Amino acid sequence: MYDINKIRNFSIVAHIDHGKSTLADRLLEHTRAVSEREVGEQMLDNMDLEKERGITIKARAVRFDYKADDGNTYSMNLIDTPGHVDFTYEVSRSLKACEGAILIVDATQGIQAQTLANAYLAIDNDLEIVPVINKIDLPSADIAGAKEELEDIIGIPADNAPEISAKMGINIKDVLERVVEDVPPPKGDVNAPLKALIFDSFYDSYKGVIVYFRVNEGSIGVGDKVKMFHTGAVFELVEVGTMSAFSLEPRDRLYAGEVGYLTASIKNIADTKVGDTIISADDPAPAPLPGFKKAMPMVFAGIYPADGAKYGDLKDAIEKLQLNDASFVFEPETSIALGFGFRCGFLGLLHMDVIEERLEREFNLDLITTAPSVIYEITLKNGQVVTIDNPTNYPAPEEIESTREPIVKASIITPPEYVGAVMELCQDRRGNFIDMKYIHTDRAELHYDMPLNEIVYDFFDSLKSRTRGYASLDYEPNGYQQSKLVKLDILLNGDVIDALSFIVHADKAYARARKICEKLKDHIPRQLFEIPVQAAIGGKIIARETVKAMRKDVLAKCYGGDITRKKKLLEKQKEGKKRMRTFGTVEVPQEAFMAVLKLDDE
Amino acid sequence: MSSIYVHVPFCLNKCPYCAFESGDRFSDDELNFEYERIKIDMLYASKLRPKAETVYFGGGTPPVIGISRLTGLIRYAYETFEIPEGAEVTCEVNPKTVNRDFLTRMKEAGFNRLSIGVQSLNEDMLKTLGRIHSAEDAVKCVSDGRKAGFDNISCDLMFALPNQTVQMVEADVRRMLELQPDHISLYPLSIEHGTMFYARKVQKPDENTEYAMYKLICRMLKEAGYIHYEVSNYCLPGKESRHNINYWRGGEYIGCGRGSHSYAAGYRFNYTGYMEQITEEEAESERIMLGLRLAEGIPMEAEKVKRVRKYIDHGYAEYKNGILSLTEDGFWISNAIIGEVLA
Repeated sequence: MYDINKIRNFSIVAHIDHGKSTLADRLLEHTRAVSEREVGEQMLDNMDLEKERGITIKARAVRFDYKADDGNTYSMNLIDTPGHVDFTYEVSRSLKACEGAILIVDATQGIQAQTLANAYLAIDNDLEIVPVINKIDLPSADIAGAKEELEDIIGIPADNAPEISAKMGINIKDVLERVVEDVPPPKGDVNAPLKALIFDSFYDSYKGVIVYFRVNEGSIGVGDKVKMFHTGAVFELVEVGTMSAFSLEPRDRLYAGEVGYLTASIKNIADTKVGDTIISADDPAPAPLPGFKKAMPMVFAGIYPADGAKYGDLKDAIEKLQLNDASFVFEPETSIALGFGFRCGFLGLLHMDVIEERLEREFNLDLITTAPSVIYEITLKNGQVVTIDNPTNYPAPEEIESTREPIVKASIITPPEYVGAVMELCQDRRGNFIDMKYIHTDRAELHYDMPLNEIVYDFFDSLKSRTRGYASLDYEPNGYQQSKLVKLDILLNGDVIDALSFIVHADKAYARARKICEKLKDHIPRQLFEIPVQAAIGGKIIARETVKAMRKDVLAKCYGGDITRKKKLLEKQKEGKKRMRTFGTVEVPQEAFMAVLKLDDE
Repeated sequence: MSSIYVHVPFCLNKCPYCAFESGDRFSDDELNFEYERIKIDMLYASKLRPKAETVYFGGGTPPVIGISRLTGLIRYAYETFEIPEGAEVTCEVNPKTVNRDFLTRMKEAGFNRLSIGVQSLNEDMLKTLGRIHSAEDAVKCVSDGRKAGFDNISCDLMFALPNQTVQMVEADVRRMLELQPDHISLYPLSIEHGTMFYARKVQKPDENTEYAMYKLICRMLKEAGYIHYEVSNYCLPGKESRHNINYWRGGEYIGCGRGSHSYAAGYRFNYTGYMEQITEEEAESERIMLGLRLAEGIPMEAEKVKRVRKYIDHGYAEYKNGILSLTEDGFWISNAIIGEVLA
């Protein structure tokens, strides 16, 4: 029976790999929402990729009943959140649907960059924080240290924090009891006009878009006519219900405080944006819930099929992915070098990675990706301001008055012994040091203002490799700043390869040009003729290497025993051949494109 | 056509560049064991393919097992297989391991072709290569072979050796031509994994020098009337190695002894127990891969030839009457061209 006081809406926030999804599974299992047999795989993460990377990309929600020690049965809504910096906005919408958040701290790692970022996000959203110390079963667990950090750094009392092992199923009930006791029930007037918050939506090929929402005011039911406040789209509801661990469970009506889903034969996911408010079409609430923002792509790259004939397949795949991800944008683009492809916009680096991997894995495509770009603001001599996210469209140097690039505020948490290495890296990437503090004796937090342009290359990989994987990174946009930018062109055999052009700070142009030329030289196989590899700024050559002409490539002896060996050799060659692109007379393997994206590898 | 290959994995001294299955430390027992194994292999082989149109004893150094075992094996081969009149029956020899008497007995037992591991006729180079024989030994070996009645003699010569100059190669080839072999195999040194040369990081002449050596060899042998009929092989008219041509034309062969490989009845297999069925598609790509090693080339549809147009345009390959073949320069980059034909 509906009783708003017996509802608990909560989420779990944590740094990547601190055990969020495992704990979610344990909670469900504990309350018998799922039998133990069915557990074994993390259920809230639906995509293979998420499982593999241990991250949750899209929020999911599940409702279950819990009979508490006080004798009452509570209706628990666990709303999972994406755990990465690129999805901060989605996380914040998910949190808006909750009254409390379980904050997991890994007892072996302590507080990390995203623990902090997510904790602050939860606090900003007025959530009651329920701290939990996880992984106490591991020999390297430091429970006291983790609690101390919680109190010192985040400033929340940790005395009563359950000490658990989600993996081993230790002390899970404590977590549920704390949620019931500490997280307040939702507030809301059942009789007020409808206001419901969309915190997730995805496409289902049978039902159309399925929208996940939390009812803040009023009620919502089958047959209602509803309107999306910001997009203005109107729908008549076909189905309304709640989510169990494995299925959707239809209900007639949901009331203030409840969490559920709706379907209405919605074709276009862009009509149901995360953060929008669902209101009644007949009795519209005058104002929406606060905080709606349109997700803005920050990183752009060209995606092309390695095999030009697969353009149609790539198009289908990209369209399918977008059905479920309104924050991923694309438009067709043509490159002289790569032919037909797409200019794609992503929320950030991980988002780009995830999309690329899904295209390659789920759709079995071989891709060539161009250097990622950010949005530059360029003031022309004639006073006009243009924004550029594609180096191909970069104006000629003589037309440019001034250039501006986006800056992010980066927060890096690292063990103290790597502070030097991190500072060196940030310095090298044009970072502007703001401050550093020791958040604990074994962890330092550094703040830098950094050009996003420097982060989108291989910053995260470099950071990880310089700190043996210990450092964590979080960043948020922090406006634009004037900067001396140039467009660097790469020429093969005298021809500009548009797909290899990129925009770079003038001071770094020479070093990067040299490195890219070297990389290309190493990755382009020898061909019949010598091939000059050059880098140029506005027609002026600033670096040059040469791919020498093919001299000898022969297996002199080839008898019975050598045939298998030779065959393998040729098969390898044949595989490589498939991934080649021909530019004029020059053949360039896919690896060459990849190589120029990873510069910091020695 | 079907061939028999007999592998004798023994040498007096393992050469520091050699990556073949062979060893220079063995007991009499091992020789006996291997002798019996080869006979058993031959017996099995004869059940699969009773007729052998060519027989080839390679190694290793077959004479190392001694004249009685060597003649014992070839006699056994004649008893076991149907070896037609005029079949090519070759044995590899190292100049130091045979004399005129030895060769005469080999000839009497049924060998009719010799492949002599000359490698170089320069004493310094022979030392570098770790050969146990002198240039003089090699010259004598050829003449002993003639006297023993061999009218089909092949000599192996290596080039692109450490510290070798183009002039040295020229001298080597000139002396080689004086011996008037019927067939010459000319291999650039290749430094293989697992050899002493590899371990010692031995340096070869640079690639431009190596190419100049190759071109010089091609020119000299052509002028002397030899036909460059395969990537590394040259012969006087009619003296092609039929055994090896059978490999390159995709024919069947059965290997006997440790270290040998076989291809018959649609399977490739070897002494280690490895066995793989060759599909029609694979057989076709092997036909291309091996067939393009031969100057005669392979028939190919014009559509497929488009992939290697640029090689044809620049003189690395030729396409005439539906036959694609590589030129002298094409042989030198044959892996790249074959790779593209197959792509």
